[in-house]
Amino acid sequence: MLGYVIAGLVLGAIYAAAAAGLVVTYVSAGVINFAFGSMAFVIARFYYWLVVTLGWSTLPAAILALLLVSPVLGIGLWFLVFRQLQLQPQLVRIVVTVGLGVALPPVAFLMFGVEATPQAVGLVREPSPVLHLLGTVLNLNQLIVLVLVAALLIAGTVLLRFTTAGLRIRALVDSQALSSLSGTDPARVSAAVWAGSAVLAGLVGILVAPTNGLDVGPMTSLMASAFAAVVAARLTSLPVAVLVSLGMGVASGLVQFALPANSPLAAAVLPSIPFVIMLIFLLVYVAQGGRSRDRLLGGALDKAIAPVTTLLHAGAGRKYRRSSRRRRTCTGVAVVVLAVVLPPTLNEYWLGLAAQGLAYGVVFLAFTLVTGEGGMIWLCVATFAGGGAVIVAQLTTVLGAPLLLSVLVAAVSMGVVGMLIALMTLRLGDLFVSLATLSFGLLVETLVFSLPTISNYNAGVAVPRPEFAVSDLGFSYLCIAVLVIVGLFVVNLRRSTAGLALSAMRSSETATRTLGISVIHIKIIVSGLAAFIAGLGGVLLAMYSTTAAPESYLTFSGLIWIAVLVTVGVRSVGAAVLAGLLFAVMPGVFNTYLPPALGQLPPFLFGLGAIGLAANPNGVLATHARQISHGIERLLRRTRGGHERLFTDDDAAPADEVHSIPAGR
Amino acid sequence: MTGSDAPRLAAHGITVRFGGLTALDNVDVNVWPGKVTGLIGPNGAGKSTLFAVLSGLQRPARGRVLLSGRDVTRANAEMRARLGLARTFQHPELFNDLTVGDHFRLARRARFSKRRVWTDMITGRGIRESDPDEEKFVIELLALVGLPGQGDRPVQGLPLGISRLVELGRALAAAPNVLLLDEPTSGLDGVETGLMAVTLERVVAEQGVGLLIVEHDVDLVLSISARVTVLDFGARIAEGTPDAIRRDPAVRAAYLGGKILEDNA
Repeated sequence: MLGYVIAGLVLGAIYAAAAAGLVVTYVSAGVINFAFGSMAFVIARFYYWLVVTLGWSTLPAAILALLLVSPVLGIGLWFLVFRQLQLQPQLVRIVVTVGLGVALPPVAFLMFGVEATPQAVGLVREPSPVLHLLGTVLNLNQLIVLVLVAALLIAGTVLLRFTTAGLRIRALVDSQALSSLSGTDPARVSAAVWAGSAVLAGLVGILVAPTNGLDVGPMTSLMASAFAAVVAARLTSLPVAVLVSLGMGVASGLVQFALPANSPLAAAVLPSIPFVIMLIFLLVYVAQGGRSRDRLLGGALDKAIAPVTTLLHAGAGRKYRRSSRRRRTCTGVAVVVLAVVLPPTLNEYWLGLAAQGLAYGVVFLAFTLVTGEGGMIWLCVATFAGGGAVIVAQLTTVLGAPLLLSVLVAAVSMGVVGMLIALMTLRLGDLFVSLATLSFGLLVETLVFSLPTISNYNAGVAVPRPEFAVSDLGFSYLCIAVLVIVGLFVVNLRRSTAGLALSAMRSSETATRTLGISVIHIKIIVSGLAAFIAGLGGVLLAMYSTTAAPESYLTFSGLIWIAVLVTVGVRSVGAAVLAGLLFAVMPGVFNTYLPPALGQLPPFLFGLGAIGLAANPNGVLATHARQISHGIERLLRRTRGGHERLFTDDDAAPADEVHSIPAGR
Repeated sequence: MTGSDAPRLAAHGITVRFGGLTALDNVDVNVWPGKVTGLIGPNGAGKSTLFAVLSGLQRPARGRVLLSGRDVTRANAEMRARLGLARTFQHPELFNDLTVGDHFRLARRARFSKRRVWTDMITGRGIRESDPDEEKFVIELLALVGLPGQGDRPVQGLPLGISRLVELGRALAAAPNVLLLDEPTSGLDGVETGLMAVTLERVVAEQGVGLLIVEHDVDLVLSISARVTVLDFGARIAEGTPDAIRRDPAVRAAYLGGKILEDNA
């Protein structure tokens, strides 16, 4: 039994390293780094390349990977990305790190190749020497993990608590502007924190690669497991995060001791442990009431000098202008007409991709609804899509139920699950929503989607197309019809009373409450509707490929979806459709016209687009579209003689006036 | 309906502590329908905390709040809003994605057609043409608060003075019984301050709103208020008519030897 406890402690130590890497950057920069898993993957892949491909011995490879490349990666990413997030809204921070997580792995694939990487090497080559300690066996790899992590944590704690550098880091948390006035260079301190976090990521990556596999999925799962400890620590307490991590590890060890090895029950219980722990802490926080410390960092001075940004919403204020409304209607009609006329002209290959893109469009509308309107960043939209597909497959192919009824049951059940998740996380704030949904998605992926009846050995279970839409042409019309209905629903919701209330809530919760509106119910309903739509879109995706293969609904793929969507714009129905088409068609374009080595480029570009949000919170394409339409309007105005130049955005006072504090306060 | 001499909003013995600091100590304040009550006091006197207690954003350690005779001490901000309480904020809390008109529409619907939050999703009213009654209401309200024709203007980037007018309009859109205004004229220029005062007097006189106003502009408060309450260090140091307040020695002491008040006496 002691052996199991020690094995558990080793796992716990790895969790602890990951949790520590996540907590320090949150504490110092207010950023939960959703790219942590991808950073771990990139460094581990580099280490593998050194050791396996180039044949280095492990020690110099580890030194190069962990002590040189990792800090450089951390500082580089801080300089290029994280630095820009300091005073961004929480939603932008989340999306940007998710985008980074999507963009990093393709870089590793481009540099080191996409071939499989079996037999990843730990810090010591297997078979590692075995030590006998307290009547149990401990291999050298395990010992190294325990010693290294303990040393790092002690060093980190001492640094934070008792040194001047630690004081500076803690000062930075409160106010970057003030601490820079008092002679600290915030840049240097932040860069050091990110370098340290990257070293932890690299360490975690190298350590878990031999057991969990050297791929993005396992690394992301490990990060999500560490999220449980981060949540338990209320995002900020390093000691709590470490203790909970160790506890989770020991619990896993004991489960392995108690349950027969390789039993289905053990396979189900083990990955659930972190999620159950996160669930418990979330419930405790909800029961305690009130929002947890999901705060934006920075003091009054930081806020006063911050640029005014709201996520993805600028220009929304024009929605009531009659002319623009008519123009929008015209555009909508034109697009629909085009969509009806275009499909028959495409050849089979492109028509198939377009149909798939339209199905993705439906899924993306779920995100438009839940994030664009509801202001919640769900990282498990892929799970809802997959859930819908899987349910339909089971009901129709396995149980023989009628298709339409199955689709309805699937979408409604996803809606119910969506509402439950909203209920659990809403009161805790944006970050907790993202953390919990990511864990939920990964849990469903490992527990449910991997069941033999569902995954069917990765081949998936058949999903029939409706009789009237068996051909790709008919199917694309079906997708267009669903898109139009769902799109109209989303547009209506945005301009309805509920939409106004949600908009209000995103700007000021306090003021919304004093109007007598409690937005929590609206958010729960919107969550349910979004999950319903995601399930529906997932069914369409399954119908496109005529199978519900869980492989197509991996949580990590869902992150790429998000990156695509936010790149195009998360506030408009058109953007969702465009993003869907882009996501489906772009790889086709690359496969057809470009060398296969560049096949990794689309996800990289999508990730980059999401990162671009840091500089451009309105979505890259949305901004340019707005500039173009502004340009056209200006031209029109000039030709009309400029009489209508009253009260457009151009007249609004410069943004910095909004926060100017009048004298005499 | 309670009689016109009963206060519309009454707070008794309000005490609020933040850790060891007693922000409010046994404070009483009353707001009568159709009258303006002024709340003044130096910085840190507890005025904004009292506002938070009255509007349901801060729960007091002790004391009771009565709204139209009902005990609402344990009612949250949403419930009090539904009972006819509206407020503005010292730092305007506008909804950045909405237009000026949308602020008014939302506030009005929140009070009078709450069900539209749900029914709009089914009836498609978001897409269809807007409600003519509502549009007329918005146009009139825009005129009342001095922002005629600016309903389609986005609020993001509005200057502070205009923001305060939008907040006032949003509060009035709910046709409140009691209106709490937190420094409505700070950051406004002379013309805007005058306009604000005129609007407030109209609202109070025509709609019988009970108005509680926190202001740094003591002149303004003493000129428009029927009664004035003075706070200092979380305690009520005086309550009475503006004339009585002008002469009150404790108030003079609180205001640095009473210079401000003496000049106006």
